Amino acid sequence: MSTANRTIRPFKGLTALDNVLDTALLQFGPDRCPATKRIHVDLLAHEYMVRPVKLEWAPDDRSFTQFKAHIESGLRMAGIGAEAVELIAIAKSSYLKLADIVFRHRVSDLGSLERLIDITKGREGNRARALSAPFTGFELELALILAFHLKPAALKPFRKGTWLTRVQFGVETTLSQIVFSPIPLTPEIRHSLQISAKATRYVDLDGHDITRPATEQDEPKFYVDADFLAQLNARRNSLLSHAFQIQLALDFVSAIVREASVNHDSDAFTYEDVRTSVLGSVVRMLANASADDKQHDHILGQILNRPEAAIANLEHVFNVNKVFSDALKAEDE
Amino acid sequence: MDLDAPSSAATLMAREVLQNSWDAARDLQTRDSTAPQFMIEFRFEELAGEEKCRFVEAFDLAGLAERLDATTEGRKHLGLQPVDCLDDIGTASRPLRILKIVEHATTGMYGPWQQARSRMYWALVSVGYTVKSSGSGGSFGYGKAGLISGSRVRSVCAYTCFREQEDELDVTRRFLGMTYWGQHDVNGSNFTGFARFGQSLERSLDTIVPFENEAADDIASSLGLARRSPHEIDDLGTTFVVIDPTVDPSDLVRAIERYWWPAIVENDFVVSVVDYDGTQVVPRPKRDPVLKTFIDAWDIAKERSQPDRDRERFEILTANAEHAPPDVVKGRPLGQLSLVSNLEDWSYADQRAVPNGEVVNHRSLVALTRGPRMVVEYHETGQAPPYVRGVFVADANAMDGQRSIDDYLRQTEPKAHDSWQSRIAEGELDPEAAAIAGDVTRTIRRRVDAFRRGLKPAIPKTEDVVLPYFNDVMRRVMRGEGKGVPAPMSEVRPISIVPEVELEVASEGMIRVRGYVTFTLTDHAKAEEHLVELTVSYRYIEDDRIGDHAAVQHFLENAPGFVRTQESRLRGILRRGVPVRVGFVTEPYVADWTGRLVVDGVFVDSVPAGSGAR
Repeated sequence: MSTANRTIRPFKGLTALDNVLDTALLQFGPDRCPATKRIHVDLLAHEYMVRPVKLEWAPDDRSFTQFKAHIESGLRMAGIGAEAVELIAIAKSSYLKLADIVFRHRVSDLGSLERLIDITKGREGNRARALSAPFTGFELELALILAFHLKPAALKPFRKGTWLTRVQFGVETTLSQIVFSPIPLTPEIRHSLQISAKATRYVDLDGHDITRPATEQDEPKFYVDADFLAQLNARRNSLLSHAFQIQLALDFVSAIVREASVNHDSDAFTYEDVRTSVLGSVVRMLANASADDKQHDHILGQILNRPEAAIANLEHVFNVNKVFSDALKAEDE
Repeated sequence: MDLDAPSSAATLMAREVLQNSWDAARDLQTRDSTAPQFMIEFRFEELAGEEKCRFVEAFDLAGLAERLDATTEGRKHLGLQPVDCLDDIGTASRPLRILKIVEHATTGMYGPWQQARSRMYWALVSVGYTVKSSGSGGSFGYGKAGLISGSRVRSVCAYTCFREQEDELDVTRRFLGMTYWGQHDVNGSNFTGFARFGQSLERSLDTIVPFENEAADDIASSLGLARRSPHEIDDLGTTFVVIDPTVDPSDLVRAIERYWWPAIVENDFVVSVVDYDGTQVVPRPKRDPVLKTFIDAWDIAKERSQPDRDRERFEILTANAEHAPPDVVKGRPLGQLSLVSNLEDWSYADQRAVPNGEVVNHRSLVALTRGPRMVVEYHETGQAPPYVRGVFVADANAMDGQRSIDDYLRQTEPKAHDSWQSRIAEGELDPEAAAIAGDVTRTIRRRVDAFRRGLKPAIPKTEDVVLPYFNDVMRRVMRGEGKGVPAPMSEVRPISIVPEVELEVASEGMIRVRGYVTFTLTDHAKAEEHLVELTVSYRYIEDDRIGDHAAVQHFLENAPGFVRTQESRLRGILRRGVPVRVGFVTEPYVADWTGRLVVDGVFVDSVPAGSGAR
């Protein structure tokens, strides 16, 4: 299958602004995150909390000058006055369910914009709350937005807050608590789920939309037979236990893949739509680290259209073969 | 325990022969406090040439071979194996294998031969068996089974040396050879099959008795055995010679380790095995990983090491009023029980195939032991994991005029001393002893069950489930940190899709999207033309999600042959080099809505070039 999707906003004339923010770079302490990318940092909580967060608009002064000129010319081509537009940075914590505007600057005053700005502190002078969730990290959206209402005009943005162009950055941490620890499957739970007495595993996605941001919802529930889980827990570090654990992980992710395939149209999403969801994570898991969004879309298409192939590819990604073989070899020794 | 188990012949020899010798050594130690440590050597030898000839002649093995030839019954009837040393007994160059079992510092087999009061008679000749004194392990007579089954030709000889006894002056050494064949006929005459190698009494020519004193020494020497002196305490004891042994040295070592590790680790005696090549092998049970676990339990039972509360137990079992006989005081100690486990390893061993294809059935086992420190039995106490292992040491203290528990249990042992019987035909067993045996084994089973229940991991609370490997994998999943699989690049797609769209004002406050989508077969399409289904649809974005379909009108003037089959879906032949251009326009919609053009093309069926469904 060949596919092509194109999102069409109800505006004309904004094309010149499309890539204007792409030179921006998020600095999280010594770590760097380019526009549209996500980085992962391995830090203790207190280290995370003292890391400065900065935005660099362009890599050098010359580029910075071009950056500002690019914005100005883009707005002219869109027919929007610079005084009506703000450059803003919004830090979001889906875990804390809040968004902080950590930077805003009138485009009409671009001359006073510094090439590197510190966005660590919020308006009260303390570290921005959205940057204070060391267990989940944060998202940063950088955008040009309308600072106030304009006179409505066909095919022109006019509402206050409408974004003209935007880019996102993501910072994730190893402290992430988004770990789906299995829940002991007891007779009572079996009864409530109406599954048979010898059922070993059950993935309960009821109440969790796998296409929505994962951290904004209750976690999916993954039930595993209580006695089996107890044995697994007791021997958690054995190679045999590893084999079972990886099979459980595969079962869980397979359930997500099948849920996506069964309950969603093949043309329902692009990767961008599900990027921060469990499904988006599965897409990235299946993709090469260097994959672009086009390839992410392709993998998403495979999940939706050929779920069994996607599950087979997950086995490759999880290195299931080796884990199983190691367990069997250990048994032979 | 089934893995690498010793043969039954080696087991019988290790248990019975060693037990009789050890009983005799303990007897000497009781009588003489200066008695040195008991030592026993199992020496495997090969005799060839002159050496063999001398041995064959001295023991008249040629006569045995002749008898075998003369019998009308087959080897099996005689209890012999299909092949043995008698086949080539006359061939000097063909080595004859023997096993010498040499005791040091035992009482020897004393007692007057007359009226069958000699221990040598009981051990080698008597058909029945006699219960030994309290606390000992074996029974006189059954020990010969360990010797007989150890000889292919069912022939052994014994040279014993003992102190002069009050009831038999002037005799301190005896030598007797025995052959234990089945009943058979020769030339019409019937024989019992039991043959003695000794001297004939003048007054009773048909009675063969052992050689005595110097005559015994001489015959022993002629067979290559070291002479013994009744005046040297170290020389007191017996030398057995097993002809053409059925067991091999390593087999015997395994058997000794398996059943005598308590005595070995307690340094009760020194036992060694000398291989045919002269290599001396000393049993070292701690090297065996399975026996090591029982030895660990033994150390706990002996209170040498403290039990690890999470995986080990130590208890003094006491008599249960319900099951113990009336004259056994309730709460009287029955013995010490120690149990061990290894939850990371063998306690959860799988029933798995071993290299020879057998399946090992794992069990929970408790080694039952008494005073002689031989393992009476590896008593099975459960067939399900977690498996545990342990040791029970019978209480050896007599109290309040009652016999010791050890003594009660000894009485319940069958002649092979390999179990404690609680059920036996009336009159064959002391009912009190049987009741105690039942109480002991039931109490052991109960305590093992309780221990195993405690070992089973409790059903964890969700917050207590820590599966590091699972968590690591899931963390990577949630971060989307896969190594990934090669994703097809866009250019490998068989249909190229190029949309061109234009927004236009439809009416006051309403807009619509108009445009074209060009579909072309790429070089990755295998055929020159394909039947395809093309979808050109438009959907609204609501709350950042894809939402309802917008009505779309399609224009097919640049898509010859294509027909609309469903809403937004077109079917037709796509040919290489002939782009199909589908025009479309959406319904008018509110001017600040966002929408998404969704296009795809899929082969419905390959159409061979030139045969297209037109």
